[in-house]
Amino acid sequence: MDHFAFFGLERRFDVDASELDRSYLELSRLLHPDRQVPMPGEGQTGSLAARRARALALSAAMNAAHATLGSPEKRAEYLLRLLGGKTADQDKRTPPGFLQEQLELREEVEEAKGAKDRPRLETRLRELESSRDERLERVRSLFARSPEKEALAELRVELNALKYVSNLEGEIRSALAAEGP
Amino acid sequence: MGSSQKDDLVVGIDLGTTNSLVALVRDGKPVVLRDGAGERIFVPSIVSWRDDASVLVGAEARRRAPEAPRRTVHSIKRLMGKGLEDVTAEDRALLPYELSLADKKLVRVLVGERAVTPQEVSALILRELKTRAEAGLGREVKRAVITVPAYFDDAQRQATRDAGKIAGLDVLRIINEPTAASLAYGLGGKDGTIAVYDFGGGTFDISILRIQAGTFRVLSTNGDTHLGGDDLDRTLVELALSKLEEREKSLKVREDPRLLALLRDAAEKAKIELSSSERATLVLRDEKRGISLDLPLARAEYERAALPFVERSLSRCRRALEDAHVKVQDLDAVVLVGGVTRTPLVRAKVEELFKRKPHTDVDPDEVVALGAAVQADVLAGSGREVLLLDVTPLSLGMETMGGGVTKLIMRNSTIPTQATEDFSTFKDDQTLVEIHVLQGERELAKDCRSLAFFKLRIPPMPASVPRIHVTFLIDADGILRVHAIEERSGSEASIEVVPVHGLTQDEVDRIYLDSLDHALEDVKAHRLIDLRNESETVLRATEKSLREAGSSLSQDARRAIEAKMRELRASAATDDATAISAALEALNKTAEPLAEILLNRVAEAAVKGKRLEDVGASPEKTS
Ligand SMILES: Nc1ncnc2c1ncn2[C@@H]1O[C@H](COP(=O)(O)OP(=O)(O)OP(=O)(O)O)[C@@H](O)[C@H]1O
Ligand SMILES: [Mg+2]
Repeated sequence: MDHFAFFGLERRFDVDASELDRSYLELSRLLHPDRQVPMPGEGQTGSLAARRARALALSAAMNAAHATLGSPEKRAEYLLRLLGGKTADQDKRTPPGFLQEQLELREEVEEAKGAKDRPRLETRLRELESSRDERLERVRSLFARSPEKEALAELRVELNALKYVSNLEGEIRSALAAEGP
Repeated sequence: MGSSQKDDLVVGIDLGTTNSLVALVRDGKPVVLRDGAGERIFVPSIVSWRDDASVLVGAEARRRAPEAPRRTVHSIKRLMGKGLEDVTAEDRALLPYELSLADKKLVRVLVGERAVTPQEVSALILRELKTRAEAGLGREVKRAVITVPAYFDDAQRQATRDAGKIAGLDVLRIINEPTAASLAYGLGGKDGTIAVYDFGGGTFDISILRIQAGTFRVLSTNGDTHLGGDDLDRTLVELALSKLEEREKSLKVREDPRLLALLRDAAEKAKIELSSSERATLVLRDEKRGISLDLPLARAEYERAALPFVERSLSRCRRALEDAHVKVQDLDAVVLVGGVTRTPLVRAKVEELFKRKPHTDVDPDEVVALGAAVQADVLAGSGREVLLLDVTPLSLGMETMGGGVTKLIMRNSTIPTQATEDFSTFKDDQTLVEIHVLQGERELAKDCRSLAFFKLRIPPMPASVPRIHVTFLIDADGILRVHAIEERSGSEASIEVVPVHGLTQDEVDRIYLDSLDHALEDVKAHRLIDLRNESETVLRATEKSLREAGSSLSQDARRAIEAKMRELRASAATDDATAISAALEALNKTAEPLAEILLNRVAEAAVKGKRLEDVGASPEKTS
């Protein structure tokens, strides 16, 4: 059973977030180890421990699955693998000119961080957010074309770029949060 | 089964840096327990050793501190799960007792000749809570849920669990303090998104949670295990020292452990007074030596010194909001926990950051213990519809070649959770693979907390041929287990990570047997109490199951169960242990089909028609 099926979802990039959440909470109420409470005559030992152990394995797997489907980036990676695409290790390509651009951007962000230049960091953050949204939009349309071989290869390139973008975005966010207004 | 069953009583314990409490759910409501004398059990987390090695715990230990500053241990929670190199200069300045330098991996406190582990000191506090609760309840307390700061790492959690074991407690669950507080807060059906701001004696935690129909889901947590009221006391001590050194040149307070202990006490009193009045007087009095000094303090002066610490807490709050993807205007409430949140400066700053008046209806001292009692009640099988979905506060990973870190589990992942990573060897015929388990957010292994090293032996193979598959599993206590397998040869190693700075299972067992006086118990009386309690649990649980699933049973099966229930009730009223045990056994046996039906229902529902066994450990691995 893949992650999508586990939560009763179709295997595709677009996921109804509220549907996923509903299914996740419902399953959590059944599978969480804490929900395995003593049954008649069971006490706190023996079969209860066994049930809790099984519940631990299942809910650990379920939480990991939920985390994967809950984030568009991770979901895209996972779906690409299910469709037979390459991993980032197997194909490290990025769009032409992208790395150079990132390098410059990163330098600028470091500088702004050093200078505690909040407005500049905020501007960069907004730019990165919109560039991430654009890439995710492309990812969505590429998945619509899958399992075409070319689409899968292009997806790999997009997702590699997306990784850089999200990392830098995360760094700016934590820098902003650490300093405060 | 039958007589092997235990008492159903499970208490909730807040093992605090400064104060510890024990609570229990009674008639559906959590209450802080009272001791045999009817006093609320509120134990200062202080332990003092007399010269004859007998031990004082709590208020008595606190009174003895000035007299025996080197034999009195407070704030031990700061040292739980620590190695010597983790003990900061701040900690040292704060803790007047000496540390043993013998074992770098595990901090020990030197009390005279004895070197005592923090686990043992904590166990003494837990045992005090246990004994006093037992006196108040008139029955034995064997099982507990114990709280820890949300930002505690793996080693600190394990140390807490071990302290429980040493105290003779079966620790059913370790839960996070802010999460426990949210349980006590949200029980009345207050759905929404909340922030729990917990500024205690030794640690600071912030958690963002979503409460929805009995499910308490932590979205993110952040904190600082070195930020608490203790630090504020220390700044006041410094402030007082600088004034004293000017005024009383002859008094060498800094070199005088007795005066320092008195000063620390006086500073805490003044700090608390400054929460309710604009000025306070720090009174340093040593009757034995005829010293009596008054230092007037103004709130503004104190606030200037305290501000940097409050700012540190706010920075943590901003990160937590960021990680939760929650904006302050999306919050429905901010709940204050911990004694320090009574400080006006703290309240004002929290209000400024969260743009709302914090919620102060819950008692900041009790709320954590009360929440722990609620979770204890759930685990005891009360049937309360509550589920905690907590997160791991720090990322977990492995060291890579060149001192980097591969993260397997990211901070704020909902637990339990798991992740796997595959790698291979670099050298031909390598037979030993070392795995270094790390916790923390930094990029380099040396900047992360080293949790454990472990070794996997494999048969010699050319480089890159072995396929080593490592699995991290974090359980519902937030404690990590690691499993490694080399898939070609099937070589396996599985460890419950024994932290670099922890005790092994054997050590825990030995301390349990050695260091605690096991008073000979009246075995018979205990057996009778146990059996009666067990009968009560079984009867209640059977009634509940009959209500839920009784209709799926045949008339005959149902009648048989009801008859056995009557028999058990009758014999539980007698003093005949053998008869009660037999009646229990009989009911358990007769009720088996009922248990079966219930288990199957759970399993079926869980995987929508599939049996639990069919699913095994899938869904398959991630990443
Ligand atoms: N009115 C008050 N004003 C300011 N500080 C106070 C007040 N009352 C108590 N405190 C401080 O609160 C701290 C104790 O808080 P609390 O009992 O919540 O901590 P704890 O639970 O023992 O510690 P932790 O949760 O960090 O392990 C002490 O530093 C104490 O001095
Ligand atoms: Mg506390």
